[in-house]
Amino acid sequence: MDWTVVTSNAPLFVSATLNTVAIAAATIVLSVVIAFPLAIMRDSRFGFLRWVSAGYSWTTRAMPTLSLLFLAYYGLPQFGIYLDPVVAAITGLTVIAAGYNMEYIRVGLQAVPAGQYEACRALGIPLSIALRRLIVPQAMRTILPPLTSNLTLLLKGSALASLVAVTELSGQAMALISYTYKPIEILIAVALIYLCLNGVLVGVQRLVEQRYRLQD
Amino acid sequence: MTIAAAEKSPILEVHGVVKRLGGVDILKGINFTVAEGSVVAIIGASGSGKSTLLRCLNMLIVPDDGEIVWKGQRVGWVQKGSTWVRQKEKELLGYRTQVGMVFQSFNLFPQMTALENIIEAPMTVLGRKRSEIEEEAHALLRKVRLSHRVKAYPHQMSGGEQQRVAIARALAMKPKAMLFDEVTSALDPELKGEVLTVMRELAAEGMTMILVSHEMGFVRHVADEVLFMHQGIVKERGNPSDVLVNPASAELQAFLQRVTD
Repeated sequence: MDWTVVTSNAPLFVSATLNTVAIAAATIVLSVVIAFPLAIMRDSRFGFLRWVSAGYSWTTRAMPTLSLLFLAYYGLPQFGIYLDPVVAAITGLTVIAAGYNMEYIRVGLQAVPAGQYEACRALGIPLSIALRRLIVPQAMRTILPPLTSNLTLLLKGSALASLVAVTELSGQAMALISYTYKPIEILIAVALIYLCLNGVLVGVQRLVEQRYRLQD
Repeated sequence: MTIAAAEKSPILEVHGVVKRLGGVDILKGINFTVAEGSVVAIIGASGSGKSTLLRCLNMLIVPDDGEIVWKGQRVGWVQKGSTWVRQKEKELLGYRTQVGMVFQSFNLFPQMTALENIIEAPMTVLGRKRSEIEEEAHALLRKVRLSHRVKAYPHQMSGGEQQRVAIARALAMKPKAMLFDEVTSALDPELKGEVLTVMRELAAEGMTMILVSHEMGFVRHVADEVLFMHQGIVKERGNPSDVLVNPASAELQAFLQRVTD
């Protein structure tokens, strides 16, 4: 083992990690924010909203992430829209991830007993306030574990961004490997970095779970 | 209806209410009126449409036909020119704040303490100040004999305590009438009493109450009128001391025999 290949290229690892963090963080936040209204629309009284939401869920989950990334980066310029590679990556990953997130959120909302919705209606609480203050906090306990699990997949999946010319962690690693022929050291280093990053994510999950846990 | 109750103006009128669910006629034309300050009890076997009827009264379930009239105004519909237009869910909320409801399964908000459960709707719906409503909430908890449970969470309380918090929560909106949907059915026998006591006191204070109940003793002593429902219609009605003691129909006779056994 020759770890100097890692230490001497530390600056490259750091900047690549920062790119990975930026893409993953933006995608996580945006995809969760978009997923909430989509999940709520899925069980709306209005057929059109249900239809839009179901269509979104189906197409985004059925479509390969890579296709969408290529469409965002190579396809949009055909229509005069030029996205920065990082922005293209975030856009593509967010659109797909939101399709998955919305299903976890929907299941969580459905797991809240019907009596809770009924109590809110009987008290005259508008649905928007009921969801935000009463229903979603209860649903979070069901939503969080599968949602976080998907977000850790997403963080690792941000490696796809390397295929649209973003120098993120995995792409940087492959470049270094072909340059140094030291795959083992480099791949172990990369694995450890992903492990730490996802550790943060799981830590955040713990904190949020505690926030929504029922008091003893 | 008793003479005393009949003299007062009806606060709620139910005219020809029909409800179909999944191709089945649950309610087949229900008529009755509720005088202000009176207690109306709805009894009947399960599946007879009692809970559906109660939910129609505050539009948690929208009737397919018929009218609910609250203080002289039709509920759920507004007249625009010569046509009646159905109100949206949002427009019904104002009416619902005037009619409190308590459920068989309590439906307290599990992540909130007793106090927080009570102040939630007055704060968010009526826009009242927390400090102001908290004082009232403490008074309500005293009223339902739960002063010592202010900071308890629902899962830390007994069913009877939870149900009394639910009553306090509904009362915090200062409703003009209360709907009770089998509120003691999920409780152990020794816990029913504490809830029924609170309800008896409410009735004595003059609260207009419409309740679905299997507590025949309570109905006999507290209700001004009893409606016996059978297969979606009101089969018998009248003063509980008549109807429950001398049931006219074979169905009510059979029902009373079952519940008193």
